[in-house]
Parts: sequence; structure tokens; C-alpha cells
Amino acid sequence: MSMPEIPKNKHRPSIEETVIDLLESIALEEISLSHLINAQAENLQAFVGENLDFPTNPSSTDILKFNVTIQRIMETIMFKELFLLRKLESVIQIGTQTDLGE
Amino acid sequence: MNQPISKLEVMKRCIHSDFEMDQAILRFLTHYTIYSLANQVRGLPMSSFPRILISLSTIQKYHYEKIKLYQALSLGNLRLFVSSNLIEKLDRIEKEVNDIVRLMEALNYDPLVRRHLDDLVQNVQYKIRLYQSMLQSPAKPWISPIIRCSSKGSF
Repeated sequence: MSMPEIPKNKHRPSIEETVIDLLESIALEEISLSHLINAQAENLQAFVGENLDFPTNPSSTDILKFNVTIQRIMETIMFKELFLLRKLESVIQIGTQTDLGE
Repeated sequence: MNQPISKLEVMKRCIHSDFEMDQAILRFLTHYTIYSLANQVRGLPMSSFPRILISLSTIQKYHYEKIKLYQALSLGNLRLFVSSNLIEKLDRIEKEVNDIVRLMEALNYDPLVRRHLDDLVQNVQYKIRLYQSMLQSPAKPWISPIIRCSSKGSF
């Protein structure tokens, strides 16, 4: 069984356009992550309350659970950042191979 | 179908996304500090603070590496999008993080937390210096971006 081939299409992007799209996808993912961090900041603000009085009256267990949730989300974002860096390195490698930088 | 954009335009978007992240990190850090202090008042330990700071500091390190790569990819022309205005904004972010550090010192907070906060400030400073050097040096036609810029930077 042979590998499937992508049919030729005049609207298919060139390698250079693909590299640019990939770079744009990195920027868009980055902005999405910044929105997620902003959302977490708002989450914290709502949880603590304007007068720092914890308006939802959480128990100590609730607070500790909340800590773990925030911590996990931030760690996930951190790993996602690492993947974005690796993705950028790969895109640059493709860009160099195709003389995008010239 | 979207119109294709130029490489320089995409670089501009990359720098913009990086700055958005800087602002988000600062906002998060501010609220997390307030939350942490409110918890301290309740007598709850904030053992997760150092881990949160490690995450934020690591994100900053990856960003520093990414900007070096953007600079390489744009053949040194990233300075076109690095304005003194952007550096001023980053300076302000650095000052605000420094304020948080001072707050922690005043409250005699865990030394480990302070150390991680210092790391975070240092990573913002690295980036400011990188942007400043971009502004000062003229754009050069780099021979090979990959050789000039590796992910194994100064970290």
C-alpha cells in the first residue's frame, strides 16, 4: 500500500506561505495563552473579593483545592510555552531550508 | 480565505503577542500576591506560591529564547518593531514586579518566594536588554539564522 498523495491544487499555499501561517499560529496561540492567564487573574480577583473577604465563604479545603487548580493551569501553560518554543525552532529550520530568510 | 500576510507583518504580531503575555503575567502576579496575602491573614500556608513563580519565570525564559529566534528569523530586522515605547512599557512592568518584591520583603515573606520573584525580575530585565541591544545595533544581513541563534542561550 502506497502513501496517499495530496493532489496538486492551484490554491494550495507555497512553503513560504505555510511558514508564515505557522508563525502566525504561534502568535495566535501565544495570545490565547495570555488570555488564559488573564482569565486566571480575574478568577483570583473574584475568589478573593474586592474587600479581600472571600465572598463565597470558601472553607480551608476549598482554598487549598483552588490553589492546586491554579497551580496546575499555570504549569500547563508553562509546558505549552515550551512546545511553542520547539515549534518555532522547527519552523525556523523549515524556513532556512527553503531560504525563507534570504 | 484569509489574505496572506508578509513575514514582517507576522513578526510584528509575534512581538505583540509576547507583550500581551508580559502584561498578562504581571496582572496575574499582582492578583496572586493579593490572594496570597489574604490567605496569610487567614493563617493558611501558601506553599504553592514558589511553584507558581517558577512557572511564570520559566514562561519568561522561553519568551526570551523565542525573541532571539524571531530576531534571527527576521535577519536582525526585528528592531523595526521594537520601539522605545515598548521598552518603556517593559520597564514599567519590571518596576511593578519590583514593587511586589519590596512588598514581600516588607512582610518578611518566605525567602524562597523572594528568590523566585528575583528570578522573574531578572528574566524581564534580560528581555529589556535584548530589546535595547536590537534598537542600538543596525540590521545586518545574517548569513545563517540557525547558526547565529540557538535555543541554548544564556540560560
